[in-house]
Formats: sequence, structure tokens, C-alpha cells
Amino acid sequence: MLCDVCQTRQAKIFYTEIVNGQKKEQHLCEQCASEYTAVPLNELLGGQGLSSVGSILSGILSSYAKGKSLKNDNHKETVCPECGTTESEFLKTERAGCPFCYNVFGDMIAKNFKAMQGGMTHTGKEPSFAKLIEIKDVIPIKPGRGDIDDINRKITLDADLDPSDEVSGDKENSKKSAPKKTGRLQTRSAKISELKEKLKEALKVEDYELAASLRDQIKAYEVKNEKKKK
Amino acid sequence: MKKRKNKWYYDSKAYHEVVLSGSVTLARNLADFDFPAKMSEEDAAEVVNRLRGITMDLGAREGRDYYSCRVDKLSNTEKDCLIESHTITPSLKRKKDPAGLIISDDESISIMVNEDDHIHIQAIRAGYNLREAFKDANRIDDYIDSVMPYCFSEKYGYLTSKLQDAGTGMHASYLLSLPGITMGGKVDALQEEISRFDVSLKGIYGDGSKSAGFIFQLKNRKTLGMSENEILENLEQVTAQIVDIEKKLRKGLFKNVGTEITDRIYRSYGVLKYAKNLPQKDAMVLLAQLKLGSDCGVIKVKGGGSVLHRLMIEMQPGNLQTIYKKNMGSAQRDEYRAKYLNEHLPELIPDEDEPEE
Repeated sequence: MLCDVCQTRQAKIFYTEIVNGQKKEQHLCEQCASEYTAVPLNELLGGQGLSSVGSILSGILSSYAKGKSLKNDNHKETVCPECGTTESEFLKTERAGCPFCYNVFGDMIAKNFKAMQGGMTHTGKEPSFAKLIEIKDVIPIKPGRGDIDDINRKITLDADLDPSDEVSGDKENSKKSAPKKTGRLQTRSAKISELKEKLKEALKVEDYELAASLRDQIKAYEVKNEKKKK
Repeated sequence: MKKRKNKWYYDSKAYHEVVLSGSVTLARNLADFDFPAKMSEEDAAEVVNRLRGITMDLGAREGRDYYSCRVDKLSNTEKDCLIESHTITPSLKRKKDPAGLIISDDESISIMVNEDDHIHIQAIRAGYNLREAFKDANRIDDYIDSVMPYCFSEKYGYLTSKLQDAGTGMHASYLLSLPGITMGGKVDALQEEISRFDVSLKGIYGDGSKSAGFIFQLKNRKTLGMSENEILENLEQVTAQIVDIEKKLRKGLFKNVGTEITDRIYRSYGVLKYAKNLPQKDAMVLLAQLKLGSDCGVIKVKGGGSVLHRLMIEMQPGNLQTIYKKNMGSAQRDEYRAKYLNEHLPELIPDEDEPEE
């Protein structure tokens, strides 16, 4: 089996996490695994010390994102326009600077919640008199399968979608040209056809979990498209 | 804060031999401001002032006195005092920007302003009393909710600076005294076992996960996807089990190495009563051993374990310096600590019947 991250070396480390009875697996090669654990451990020891399992686990998330961004030279940092929190700052501290950050870093937050909290929606007390903050729906990307660039692309996509920027749904094409214009190229219909492509592949390899998530993503985009047309 | 009125930890009726105290913290943020880490100094001061403005009202509603102050303007000793009784957190001490504190007369309810979030409401109760603490915190939360708007999302609940707090924004914790589990060498196994229940067990008053006085904090890890009630229930269930294990192990301890433990307990009393130099860590261990003896009926002291718990808090640096009204270096503190403990250690109550072993 190949490593989930680099897809080149043989996977030797099987990292399993069970949250609320749901099992998540990652298969890593030694090199990628050491990259994940060594970076946050050193950082933590220099910083606040190893306080809890939580900090180690969340460290894995941030170094995952970091590893991804380092591999891509054209990676552009997302910055919260409201409070100025940068993506790297956010990943390092795992703190939002303002309510708006919850949308700006939506995908990463969703991923963090899925891994750390288990639950994804609030079920507790509600205030009687509050300023409601709308949080956009994002579909968390699974570790090892998603790509931090995808996350960025989707954020900019949601933020300023321009229907005139029609681009062919060709996956290769959009990937190559994406860095130049940082994400504004893809439209929803392009994204949908890309997702459909991925869905076919997933069904071919019988990865139904991924397929289900892709199906939901496609649905979400289609609904948005409908709304826009109206 | 000058007066030493009755504090929450003086409550001897609520004393429990394993559960020292229970506390609930609710993290809230006001709408229209960035979170404290990203706030301008003016905004921070504005938030502090807004909350200090409700102090009088709060006192009138609750029917007791509330005080407020600017934490960034307190002396380090004053801050240490509040940390030692778990009224404020160490991170609030380090804040340079305007930060505030509103506190009830017995220090059982405190509102920290501009810690990680604009508002941290904390309620603490001695003994096995988490529900009461939650009621307190929830009542204060309802009141603040009625006078200023929080920022809230239907999806993620109360939005907080730290991702680990979002949702209910609630952290509930019990402070547990676990000499049986510690001496029985079961702490690591317990910590491992317990993480499956979404709670964490952490040693306090020690380095890392070790605990100097066998004192551990049990806390919920998850805040999203569980209601407040579920969080409390879960924590209570885990606590009940730990209490059972602890009691069993304590019994086992006396069964197997009874004479050795009894000797240690009496030795602890002797050292605390007559030693002239007591570093905090030593004093903590000795008090904890004495508490174990008192809890298990090996040794009887006036006032029981509650008094010993109180001494554990009062012999710490901030409290000690406040009691003696002077700043001290660590060597001097150790001397004053010994003096304080010599004088305040409760008297032994002799057994009426000769113990039959």
C-alpha cells in the first residue's frame, strides 16, 4: 500500500483514530509520518510543553497543512479581512481572531472539529438575545485525501464567485492555471464536473465513503447554482 | 479583596474525601468586537468597562456583594492568590492589555474579562457539587445575555477564540484527591482508560502530569455536539467510577501496607507541626498524606479534611504573602510556610477507644 500523503513510498505506519465510535485511518510512510510528528512536538516543547493529547493531535493537523503548503511554492496564505489573522497564525495557535474567522478558515475549522470534537453541530444552550453569525456549510476534507490548496480554492470560490469566469471542467487544466490567478478560475459548474469525475473514480475503486461525501458536495454546489440562476 | 471573608473552600459541610471541588466555566464573546487576542487596547478597555458596569446590578440580583477590578493593575501577589484558589487562570495573570475580574464575596463566582475570550464565567463549589456550580454559572450567563449581545452561530454555538471551546463554551471539571490511585501506581492506566470517555485527567501542583499532592483535575474535552447536560452527566459518571476505584484502592492500601502508611501519616503530622522550613512541594505531599489519614479514620484532626484542604490553598506563595502582608523570596517563604502550618495545623483528637488492629 502506498502512503496516503506522498503516494510514492510504501506505507508502513497505520494511524487510526476512533472518535465517537467512528474509525478513521491514515496510512503513512516513515518519512511522512516523521514529518507529522517531529514538527509539532519540537514546537510544543519549546512553547507550552506537552499539555495534553489534544495538543499533539491538533499539531498533526497543522503540520499536515504546513507540509502541504511547503510543497507548493505558489501557495498563497489566506488572511481574515476582519481581524488580520493569517492562515499560518491560525494553524499554529488554533485560535480564531474574530467571529469572521469561522468562515474564512471554515474548512480547516470543520476538519479540526471533526477530529477533535467529534460533533459538528451545537446542541446545547442558546442565548435569547444574540448576534447570529452565519457559518457557511463546508464539507470537511479527509486527512490524506484532501488538499490544502483545495481548501483555499474553495474559500475564494465561495467568497467572490464570478460567473463570467467560465472555464472548462478539465481537472488538469484548472490545476495548472490555478496558481496564477489564485483560485478565481473555477466556477461552480466546473467544480461540479470535477467532482463528478472524482466520484466516478471513487466508485471504480469502491471507496463508498469518499463517494458519499463527493455526492453531497455535488448536491451542495448544484443547489447553490440553482439559487444563483433564480 | 483585602478582607478574608468566608471563602467557598471553607465550606466543611460540602467536604468530600475524594472530590475536593467542582467548577464550571462558560466562555462567551460579545458581538461587535474582535476576540481579545486581536483587540485594540481601546476596545479591550471598553469591554472591561461594560462588564464592570453590571457589577452592582449583578450583586443586587444575586443578593450578595460582588467586586470588580482591573486584573492588569493588580500586584503579582494578589494575582497569585486568586490563581491558588483557582479563581483566575494563570493566562489572565500574564495579560498586559486591559483585563478585568468580577468576583462574588466568597470568590465562588468569578467573571474573567478578556482572558482568551471576552467573558469567562466561572462558578466553583467545594465537594461533589458540580450541578450547583453549573446552576450558578448558568444564572450569571442568562443575566449577561439579557443585557449585552453574545456572538453565536446556530451551527457552531457560542463562538470562541480557542477551537477547543466552541459550541457550549463549557468546561466542567472536578478536582480530585487520589492518593490511593497514585500510591497504587494506577494513574497512567487510568489516564489512558479515561481518554475514551472524552475527559482528561491531569495532575496539578506538579511538573507535567505528575501531581505533588495527589491532586488531579478531571475535565471534559469536547464542547461541540454535546449539550451542557450531557457533558455534566458524562463527567459525573466518570467521576463516580473514579471515586469507587479510589476508595477501593485506599482500603487495599491499608490492608496490605497499613503499618507503613500509618507511620507515614503520623510522620507527616509531626513534620508539619514542628518543621521550621517547608518548601511548597513537601508541604503539599505531607498535607495530602495527612488528609488521607483523616479521610480513612487513621488519624483524627479537628475540623477534618476540609481544614487540611484549606491549608493546602493557604500555604501557597500568594496566599502566604497576603496573610503575612509582605513580599518574600522563595527561601523566606519556606520559613513562613512552616511557621504558618506549625500554628494552624489542626489539633489531633485522641481516640476514645483504643484502636484494635
